[in-house]
Amino acid sequence: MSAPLRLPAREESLPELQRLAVEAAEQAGLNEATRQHVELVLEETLVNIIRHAYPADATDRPVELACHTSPGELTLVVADHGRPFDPMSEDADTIDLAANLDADLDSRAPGGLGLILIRGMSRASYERRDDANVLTLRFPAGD
Amino acid sequence: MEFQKAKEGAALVLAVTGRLDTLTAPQFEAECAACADAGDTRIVVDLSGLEYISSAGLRSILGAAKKLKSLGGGISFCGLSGIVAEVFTVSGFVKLLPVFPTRQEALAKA
Repeated sequence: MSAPLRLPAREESLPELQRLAVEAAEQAGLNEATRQHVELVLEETLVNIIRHAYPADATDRPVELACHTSPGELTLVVADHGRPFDPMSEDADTIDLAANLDADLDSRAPGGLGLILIRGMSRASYERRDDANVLTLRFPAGD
Repeated sequence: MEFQKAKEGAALVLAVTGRLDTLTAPQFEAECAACADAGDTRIVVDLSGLEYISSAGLRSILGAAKKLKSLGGGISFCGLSGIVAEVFTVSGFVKLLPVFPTRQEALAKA
């Protein structure tokens, strides 16, 4: 395990955080398809934090990423100190995601896509730890 | 992200290479809006050179599709593979928008 990378929760931090996760995925020996899941799930997770965790004018807005590798498996732990938000809870859904999947072009809502991708491409679990949101994302090689 | 445009009859083929993510998605929607402003409202987007797409990319596609439809045109897609095809499937976009295996098939229906 390497030391967590702590950066401001802003869009310009995305490339560095994604690069760290992809390097860890390579070290863990994950195949290309799973490495892409890692990159995508992390982007969706971080964008939620960037957009929603802190008030827009907050200057102290940290997000932390820690990567744990073992042979054939990668675990990412993403933490922020913003308002409580559990992306795995159905309470997180502001729209009916399942119905939206079948909606046509005129009625399709733009939101909720990130949550679908996080849930579909990782094994995620959420914990509120003291004042932090801690999301653990597991990527076994076989997924 | 890079764009290459080619007129094919009444349709415009827009080939996209690179990444369609949070940082680049606004460029895609702006490019489609520029095509529409130039009178090209029937667009076939060739994604065979696209390496990566996230939900921000999907939202920019949704925005472009709604705009083109409101102008009486339309957007379709071809050449999806790997993570791009997977994201289109998981998100339901394969049912939402016309998706074809090849550019020729997309143009035949454009």
